[in-house]
Amino acid sequence: MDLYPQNPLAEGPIPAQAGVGLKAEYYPHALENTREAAWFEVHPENYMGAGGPPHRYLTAIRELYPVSLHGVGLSIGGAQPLNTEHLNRLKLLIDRYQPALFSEHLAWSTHDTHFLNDLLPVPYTAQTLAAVVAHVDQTQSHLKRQMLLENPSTYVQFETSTMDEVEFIAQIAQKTGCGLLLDVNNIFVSAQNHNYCPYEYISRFPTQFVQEIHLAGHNVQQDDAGAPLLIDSHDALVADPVWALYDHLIAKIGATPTLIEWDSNLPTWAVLVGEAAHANSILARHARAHAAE
Amino acid sequence: MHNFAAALKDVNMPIPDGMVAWHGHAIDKRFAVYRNNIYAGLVDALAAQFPVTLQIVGEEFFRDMALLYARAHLPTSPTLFTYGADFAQFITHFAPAHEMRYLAEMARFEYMWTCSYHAADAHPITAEALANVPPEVMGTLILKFHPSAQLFSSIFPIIDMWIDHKHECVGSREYRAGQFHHLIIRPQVDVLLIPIAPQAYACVAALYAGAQLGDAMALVPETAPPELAPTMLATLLGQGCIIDFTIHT
Repeated sequence: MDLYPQNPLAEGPIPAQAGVGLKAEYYPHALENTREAAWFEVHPENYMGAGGPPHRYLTAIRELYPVSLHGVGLSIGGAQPLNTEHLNRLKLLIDRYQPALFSEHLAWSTHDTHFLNDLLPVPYTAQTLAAVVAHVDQTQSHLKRQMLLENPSTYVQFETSTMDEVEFIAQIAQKTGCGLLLDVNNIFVSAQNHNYCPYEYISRFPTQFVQEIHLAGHNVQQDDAGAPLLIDSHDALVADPVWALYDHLIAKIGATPTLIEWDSNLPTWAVLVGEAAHANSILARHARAHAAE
Repeated sequence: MHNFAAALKDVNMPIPDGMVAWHGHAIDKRFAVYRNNIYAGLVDALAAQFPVTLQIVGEEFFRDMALLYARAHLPTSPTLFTYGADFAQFITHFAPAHEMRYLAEMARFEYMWTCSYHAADAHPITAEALANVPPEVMGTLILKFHPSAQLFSSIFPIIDMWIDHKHECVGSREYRAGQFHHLIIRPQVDVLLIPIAPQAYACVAALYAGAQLGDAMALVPETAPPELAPTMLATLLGQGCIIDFTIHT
């Protein structure tokens, strides 16, 4: 099903290269236009003020680079109706900046009137599937464009779940026509936390819908039983086993726009674009291999 | 989800049933990740929103205070730069901060600073724009302030303290209580903090509220230096505080 236009800005789709998350600290580097990052991603929630420097900088950077909006506040996995005020704010930003991609999470963050400021886990049942599908449909029709949905990192599982995550996500994509954002760190974190194989997850994932990839750092703790408990912290270098998983994924699906996500304990620009260069080397190696085939 | 949310909000509530780990053992530490993410994130958001309030009391005091605030006042919007609107009021009633009566005032100012930072953009007019107004109707002029303009008054020298903390030169001058008035405004990129002399304050406040120029000027006390009002008006125009005017006929 292809209900909504992909990449509506004809001249600026996201290239199949590495981009980085844009924070205020990096505005001067982005404006130098060195192309060390091929594109930038922002959290739209940080640009929902009426005016001021955030818009001034994003406008200038948008003139130089493709931009992707990655929402953290829509609560698409929630049981309650979506916040239409928030949808309106997103629409305003999308109309203004014409992002090449817009994505949100398979998670919930709003309960009653409270914003809980985290990406909370969803049980995988027929009932929650219907709710998420309705929310993705509503979002795409409200924004008049396709959205991407991101696989979550989770720390607990629900006894009520009747299907696994891959099946749940595949059904959402098939029923709504949304694209998918595959977060490779999230696959690794969840696989470790729930003791399954991340390669097997990728082998079953509906990769034909994937339009963007995320890479990020995590940290390692232990749960009550002494088992590994990985935290999706976005505050460190991408871990080696996540690079290996990414390499495997790109070999399978080909070069795909890839974002280095880093949200706290921010690194220097040099370290951040070093991670982007690492991703680019993997993308280029597989692009050559595909071309040689 | 209702039980999940309730247990996140109230740390004294038991972990709800229905969640498991693959090995079948306890999930306390796993559930704690969610509880921790929420409140650590909100405390971080407050620390970013109130940087000098934090500097004054130190990291540990601030984080303890912010955590208590966050538990009692969860945000109602995912736009976290609007979070903390009533943090200053919370500090007013926060017993460990009672000795520092200026602390709530600092938080009130820092929230206003953020509001000006994110306020709508508009093009200021220059003094020349008023040059063609006939002198006989000048008194009926109503000035329209920039959308980012806010008046801040305190009995504490909050802005001096804030600037000293920002420039890391605390201790370079003595702070005394008094009457301090400023216009907080962001005509372009930077937030400006324009001091308003106590004798000019009633006049500026009236202009800000939409009074006619003549009526506002009448609020400047007769004891004030004659150049006070014209200088203040020139400052407002020169700094880009005014975006339009109307003549009342």
